Amino acid sequence: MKTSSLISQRTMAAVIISLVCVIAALLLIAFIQQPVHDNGLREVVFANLDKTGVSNPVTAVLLNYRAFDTYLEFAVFLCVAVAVLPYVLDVPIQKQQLSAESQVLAIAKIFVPLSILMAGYLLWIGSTQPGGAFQAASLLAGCLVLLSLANVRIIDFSTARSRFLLSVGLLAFMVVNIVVFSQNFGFIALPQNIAGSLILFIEFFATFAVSATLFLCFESIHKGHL
Amino acid sequence: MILMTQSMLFSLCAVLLLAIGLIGFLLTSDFLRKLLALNVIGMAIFMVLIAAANNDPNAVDPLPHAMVLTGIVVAAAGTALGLNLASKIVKFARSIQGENTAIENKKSNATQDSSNGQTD
Repeated sequence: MKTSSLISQRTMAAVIISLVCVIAALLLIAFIQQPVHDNGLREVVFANLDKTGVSNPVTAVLLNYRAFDTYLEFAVFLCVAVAVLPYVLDVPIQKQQLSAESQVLAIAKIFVPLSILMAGYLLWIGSTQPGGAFQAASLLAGCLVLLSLANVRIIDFSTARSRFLLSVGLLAFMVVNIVVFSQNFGFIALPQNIAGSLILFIEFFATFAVSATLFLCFESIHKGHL
Repeated sequence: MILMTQSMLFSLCAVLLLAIGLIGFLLTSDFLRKLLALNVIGMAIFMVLIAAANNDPNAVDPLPHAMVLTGIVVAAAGTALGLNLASKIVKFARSIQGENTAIENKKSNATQDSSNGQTD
């Protein structure tokens, strides 16, 4: 009885592996045979780049051409934050004593100010060079993780203030959309002359919201399941 | 002979990653490994997009880059959600197991007590 189930499991695994190999081979043939990718959108992106308020094409795509995508993505982040929040909240808050000789704390003392500075720089150069809200947010989230590992508690997710922080990116985007729409510029169509500053405004708040959400994700796994 | 460009190399690696991820996802029953395999599949898809963006090295297509940039962060958040759900399931299973073992322990304790009484 046991040997037969073992054999059937092995044949199942062999079938799965061979099927995956067939799929991989088909994909390889498809990749080799496909013509050179060119959807013509690249030329459109670069032709209208001076109207977007930023000179980095990736930022232009994210927050001007396809701003609706990014807008909905902030909503997705808020959904994830709401879904993950209970796992943090059902854990009793532990008051842990800081040990002065903690190695993680020593590392955090050096790296946290540096990475906050770096995050600000990344946010600022996002309009001209590779960088922007998401990179800055991941750096800030890394900062928060380092502090959390050193037992420094700076965000308490049971307070209303920190929950507001989670939604601040979506709120900033909403405010910009409503103001722009009420000025008859259309739905998510940033006016050319102030597009750059509006994008920076959205990115500034999005950085905090995304980094708080990422940190919440870490905290829920790290502290929620001891 | 196939012309081996950089984007072709990226596509090949992506297919390899996809195969590894699919095998890992389908052959394991462990939540953690399934989630890791899903992440590997996601990375394969990101690599396909990056390869598609880099066909002409002089003018890189920014559209796939923007998609990958947002996708990475969403994948991280989704993985965290999946890990939380998985650990909740494990906790639930453990609590049921604990109840079962408690009942079994009671039974075995009763028999052990009687046997201990005999030896002492």
